[in-house]
Amino acid sequence: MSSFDFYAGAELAKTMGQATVELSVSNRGGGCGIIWDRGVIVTNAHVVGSARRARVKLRDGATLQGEVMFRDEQRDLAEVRFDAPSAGLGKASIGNAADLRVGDIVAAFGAPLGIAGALTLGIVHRKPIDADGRVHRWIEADVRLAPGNSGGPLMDARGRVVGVNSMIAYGLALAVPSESVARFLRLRGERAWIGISAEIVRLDSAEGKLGLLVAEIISGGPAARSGVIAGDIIVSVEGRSFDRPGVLERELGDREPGTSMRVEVLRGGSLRELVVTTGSSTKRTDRAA
Amino acid sequence: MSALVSLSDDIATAVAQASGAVVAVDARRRSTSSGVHWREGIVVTADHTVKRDAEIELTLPDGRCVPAELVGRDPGVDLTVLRFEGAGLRTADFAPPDDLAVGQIAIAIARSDDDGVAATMGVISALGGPWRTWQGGRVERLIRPDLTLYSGFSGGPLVDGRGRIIGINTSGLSRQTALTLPAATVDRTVHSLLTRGGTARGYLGVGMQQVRIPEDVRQKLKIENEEAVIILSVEPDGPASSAGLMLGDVLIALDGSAITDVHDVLAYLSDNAAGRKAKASLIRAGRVVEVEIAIGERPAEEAD
Repeated sequence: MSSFDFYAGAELAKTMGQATVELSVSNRGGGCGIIWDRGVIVTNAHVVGSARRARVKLRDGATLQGEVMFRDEQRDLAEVRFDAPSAGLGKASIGNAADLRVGDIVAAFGAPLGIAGALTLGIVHRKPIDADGRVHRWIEADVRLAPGNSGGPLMDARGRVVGVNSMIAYGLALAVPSESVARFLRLRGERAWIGISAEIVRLDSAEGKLGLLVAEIISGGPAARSGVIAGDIIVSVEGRSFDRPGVLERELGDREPGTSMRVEVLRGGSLRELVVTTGSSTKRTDRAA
Repeated sequence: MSALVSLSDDIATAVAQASGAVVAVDARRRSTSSGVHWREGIVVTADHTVKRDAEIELTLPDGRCVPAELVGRDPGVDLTVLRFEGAGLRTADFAPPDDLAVGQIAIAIARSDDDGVAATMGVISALGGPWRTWQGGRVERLIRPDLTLYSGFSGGPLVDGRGRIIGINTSGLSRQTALTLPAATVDRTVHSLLTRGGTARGYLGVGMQQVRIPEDVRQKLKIENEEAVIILSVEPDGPASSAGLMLGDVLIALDGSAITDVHDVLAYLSDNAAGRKAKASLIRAGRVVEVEIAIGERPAEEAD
């Protein structure tokens, strides 16, 4: 018989228990948060909603008041700060979602349906990076989640946090990759923004090529200043064409405010290339980019 | 924690290993299903995911998109065999069938045309002997995995912890659960479809239900079976209709072997090809009647 350590999962629960807190705000179901750094909790935007304060419940039962610093609804992330007691509190060890392989063991830790300190185990369902090595918006994991897991950690077999559990889709767990969290924390909730609202359109029904029709443009915004006009159809961003919706959101999500971005637009039947310098936005609606 | 780390490595390696022989099959609208490169140039997939007979495309592990030709279908075991130019592509490695055990870790693998490889893990939940599907196909062994067969996973392989293929997964044979067709069943089906070019399963064109034969009728007519099947519908112009079968006829034997339930009929039909003549023994109006039915071919659209 092999000597597989059947208690290996217990180690994970112990590690994670010290770095996971329960969060609640008034009028919401509550969820979890991850102690990402001393005094810094990362959770889902949908756990805290628009609240400015959140109640932080530590592993030992102590409750503290936390302040919601930043949030990014599109990424479903929020940062909560609290005055950390000097001792007895762990912090998460952070891993890279990009390193995950299909089949790697991952575990979720949280309070599903209010059962605090619950661990569920599964595997990475799909590679979380694309062919260019860029991290997808979500890690997809074959791990059972339930309401109450939101904002809690998804960790790899070494107990390193690779994502923030956020949603359940078709039975799969969707978690925000740790790389996106790092960017969110670095940019303090800001994101690159160009000030347009656009609709996906089909350019060529035969090839299934997509374009982004600029429906509205914010005057004086980054796109307007770079010469984009309403009615332009964006066909590629940084040389990437739209083989699927979300290319622009993705590009913006990956870059910082104040950087230039090559944008190819179709205007009156001919192509032209523009360079758009991204602005910064902390607040945005779903359709605007 | 090291045990989980090495398990993690093992599973990821198994997925990487096995997925080299897993292709995406584009043969229905909206989403692809999966297939296994079973042997050089031959892909096996789940029949219920193949909604068309032509313009089938495969996405290979190296990303290439190639056309595939339909060799044949066997809806009885929910398998379709495809042929393509597969030079250079890895074929499946198989797990020794005797090593299967309830409780062992098993992984289902899928490939889609745009998102690449996906995997889900569980254990083998139940093993059993030979069984018949509701569609009448013979399966060498029952393998029931305990895992979620997500959309697009049908036709893909169930593999062991070393990435060796145990069989083909399908959600098409049971409403309740995922099932895995053992390699032996797939081998036999591939062989039969390649040599005969199509499923030869016969067809009668009747709807049936099992009934109990009353004791006094059994004694009077000297019938051994306690049960038989009653004909509930007869397809117009079908083989049974042409042979004069009527609603209410009770089928008690085919070629002299007793029919006690619908599965017996399906089993008979899967072993007896279209074109043969079957001697049906019926109870009709209180008497035993013999009728000869020219076995027909199953209509193609039945596959759905």
